[in-house]
Amino acid sequence: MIALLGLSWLLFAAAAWWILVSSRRPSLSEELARSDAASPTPRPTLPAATLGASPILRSLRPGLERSGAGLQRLLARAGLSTRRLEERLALAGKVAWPVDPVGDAPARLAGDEQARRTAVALHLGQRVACGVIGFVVLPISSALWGVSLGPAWLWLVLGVVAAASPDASLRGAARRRELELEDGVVGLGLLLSVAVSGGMGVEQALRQAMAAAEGTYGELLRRADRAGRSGVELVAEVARRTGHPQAGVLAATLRASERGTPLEERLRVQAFGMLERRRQRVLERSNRAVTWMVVTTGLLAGVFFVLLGYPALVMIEKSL
Amino acid sequence: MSVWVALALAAGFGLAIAAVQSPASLRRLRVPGGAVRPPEALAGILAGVVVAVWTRLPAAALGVGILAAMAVGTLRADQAERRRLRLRQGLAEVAGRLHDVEAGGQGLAQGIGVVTDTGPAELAAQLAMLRSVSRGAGVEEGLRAFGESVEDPLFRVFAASVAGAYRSGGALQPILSALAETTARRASTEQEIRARVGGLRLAASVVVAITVGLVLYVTAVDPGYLSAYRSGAGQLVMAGGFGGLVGCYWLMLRLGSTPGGSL
Repeated sequence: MIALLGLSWLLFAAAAWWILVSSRRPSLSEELARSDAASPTPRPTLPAATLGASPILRSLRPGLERSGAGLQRLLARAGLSTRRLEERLALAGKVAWPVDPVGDAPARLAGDEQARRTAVALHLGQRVACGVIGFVVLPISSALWGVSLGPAWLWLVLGVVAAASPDASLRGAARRRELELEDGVVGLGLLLSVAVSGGMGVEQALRQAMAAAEGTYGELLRRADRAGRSGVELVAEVARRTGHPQAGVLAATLRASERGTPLEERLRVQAFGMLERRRQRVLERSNRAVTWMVVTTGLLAGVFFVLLGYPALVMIEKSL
Repeated sequence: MSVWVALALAAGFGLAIAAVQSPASLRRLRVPGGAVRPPEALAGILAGVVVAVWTRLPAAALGVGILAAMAVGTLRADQAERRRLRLRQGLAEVAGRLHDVEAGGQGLAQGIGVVTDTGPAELAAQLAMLRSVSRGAGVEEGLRAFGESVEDPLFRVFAASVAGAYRSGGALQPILSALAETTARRASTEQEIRARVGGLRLAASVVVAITVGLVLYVTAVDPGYLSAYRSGAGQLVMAGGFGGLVGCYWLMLRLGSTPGGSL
């Protein structure tokens, strides 16, 4: 009984740690710390980082892609769309975009579509692999160490939880990168606004702002920059590939400016509007955080009773 | 029993998957207050040693050591947060004053002189540096140094925008006005959130302190009561209990982390 209690605590702690690590969203502090500024990100986001830096998982990639592609076909036959997953993978920077031929728009779009499909297949493959591992962990433990097989529903629960883990990880990554990109869009918008108000042309202002832009967004723009493309095209391409809504708004504003729409004030209003919306989101989150803090205080009180009540329980058990 | 062993194995397996799948997630796992620094480590070790000597319960010593390090880290983070908030309020003032100078028809170089002489005390050193570098190496270089003098992205955006406007001859007033307003609003939001979560953070600290205090008190007045914790299984339960305390306290600090400060 005592050992069971101890092990259950161990399990609780391990599970809590895993959940916190794998699905970590930016904290209130991190989110609000960005709410007024383009924060430089020392860690560049690699566009092809679909499986992290792990050589083990990279070697498993072909198998994962095949199993994921199979699941993808099944989902397509069942009429289930993976569009939302595609968008999330693109936002999280998990799509390995091809280096496309300059000026060949159809080939570029086809290549991008293929890259999206591959990323989805890989992610679905990860889901399948994690699910299978979760499902078989009890039988394998039983075979290796002779522990009980446990009830069948437990195998299923473990399988489902494990299969959901890549999604939890992806959601956190997408949210973090969304904020990084938003910082970049705000920063670029401000720099552009200043440069345009100084009398520069849009293209010249964009080139100057892109050179000075920090963080993931600036990095993506510079990486997409190849001979023959205008700055507006680069901004539009990064917006399309990331699927970031504010980057899309910036691209649309720049496109409109090519038809003579005034740019300076629009850019400034957009940039500060983004910051204001984020501030409001953070306030909303802080309200939710207070509720969870009350729950956590209750849990703390529970731990208090367990720590001080356990010796009494043991004494009572002995005296009976 | 065996089911629990298997479940523990499954959890370990899950952790391994998470770690392999996303090594960066391990780097993101920080202790409250950021990275462990000497004061936190010292407080943790000292508290751990004292409790180990006092109770002779390794799990309690480890748990109290971690909690002490977290508490010191939280205090440090809180101080840094207050300082950062003051600096931001100062920046809002500087942006507002530069805006006024610009509106009065004077240039940026004159504006820098004005804010250095009449600017907020919190930013006195940074403003003095801005003026001296601007005189020696040019306004753009001075602004760059100013932006990098405080570890705050807002300072960098301020410096980059103003330098960009100076370089291109762009309109500075609207940007300065919007920056001053945004910064001031931001500071007020931070204070609002601090006020909202501060009470609950304090409540969590009090519950943790009472729990630890009672364990130590019971050890002193009735050592026999805690004898259940002196077996291997008892130590496991105690480790679980302190693990729960640490986990809940960490979660509490994370949820209630106010803008800009780490837990």
